[in-house]
Amino acid sequence: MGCNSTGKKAVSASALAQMGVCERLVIFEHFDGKHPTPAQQDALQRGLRAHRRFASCRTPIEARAGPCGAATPDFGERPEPQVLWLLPDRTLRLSRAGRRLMLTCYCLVLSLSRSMKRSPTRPLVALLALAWLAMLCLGSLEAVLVR
Amino acid sequence: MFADAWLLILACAALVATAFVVWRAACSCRSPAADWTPRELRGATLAYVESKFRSAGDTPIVANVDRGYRGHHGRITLVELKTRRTDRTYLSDVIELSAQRLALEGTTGEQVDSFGFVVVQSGLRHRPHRVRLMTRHSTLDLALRRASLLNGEALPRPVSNRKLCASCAYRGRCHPKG
Repeated sequence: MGCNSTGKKAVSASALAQMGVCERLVIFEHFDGKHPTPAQQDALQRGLRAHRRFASCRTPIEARAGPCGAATPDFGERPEPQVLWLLPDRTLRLSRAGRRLMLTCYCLVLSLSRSMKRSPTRPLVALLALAWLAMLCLGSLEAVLVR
Repeated sequence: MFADAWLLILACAALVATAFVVWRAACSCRSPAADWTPRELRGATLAYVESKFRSAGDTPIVANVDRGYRGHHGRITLVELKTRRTDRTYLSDVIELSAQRLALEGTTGEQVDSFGFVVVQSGLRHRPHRVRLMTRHSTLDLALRRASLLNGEALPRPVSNRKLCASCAYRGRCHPKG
């Protein structure tokens, strides 16, 4: 809840939803605050985690039909995420294999983005390790081919 | 020769690691929880995610919209996520979505559908429930009733489902005899 520029107190949608549970509880919570039981606190934390996943994850249909979910939380409504999708939209989306590739890349980028939010250095270290292994792979292949 | 063998082993390890990462990503795309989209929302564009809105007027309402989809007709359809043990919706869900509709319409001026979806997550399963929203008039009436309850101008109605009292922190004060 909060006040706007005209000083009117706003009611939140979740506070209003409490009216459908118990009107007495609305009054108690308004004057004495919320006192959730341990089970309710656990449920609240579970709900918050589920909401974070729900906000960041998209269904396969959305991955095919919308702007980039990994970039949208960072760029908001700005045009960058739409521009990112122009090339795959015009090329990969035309075929079924291309759509599958897009979906796999999308999931990889999303998990990388989530991982970076938790710890910005971990994915960087993983990428460096992968690049080093790839270079080793190329080097060994070259050595085998030369012999 | 010995060094070459090690290089080959390392290269194979890199390939296996990359394949594992790609396979995990592909599996997460195909998990049963991933696709809950109801038929009405197929082809709609995701317009709002975890967005906050505030309506103006005498009874302003603030709402955090989980998801809003823009359909082919241009109207927004609201989606709310709930985590529950039982796969069902309650009146509070309808009130919350109705309040979200007022806030979104008041802020953006966009038209919102008269129905919405409550996606209930029970365990790993997500199931969408289509609910009919309250009218704007009824939602505002409810907000006014809430204000009059808090001002002491109206008396609270008894709870419709007494089972809810079992887990209420205020049970002792509400029903002093237990």
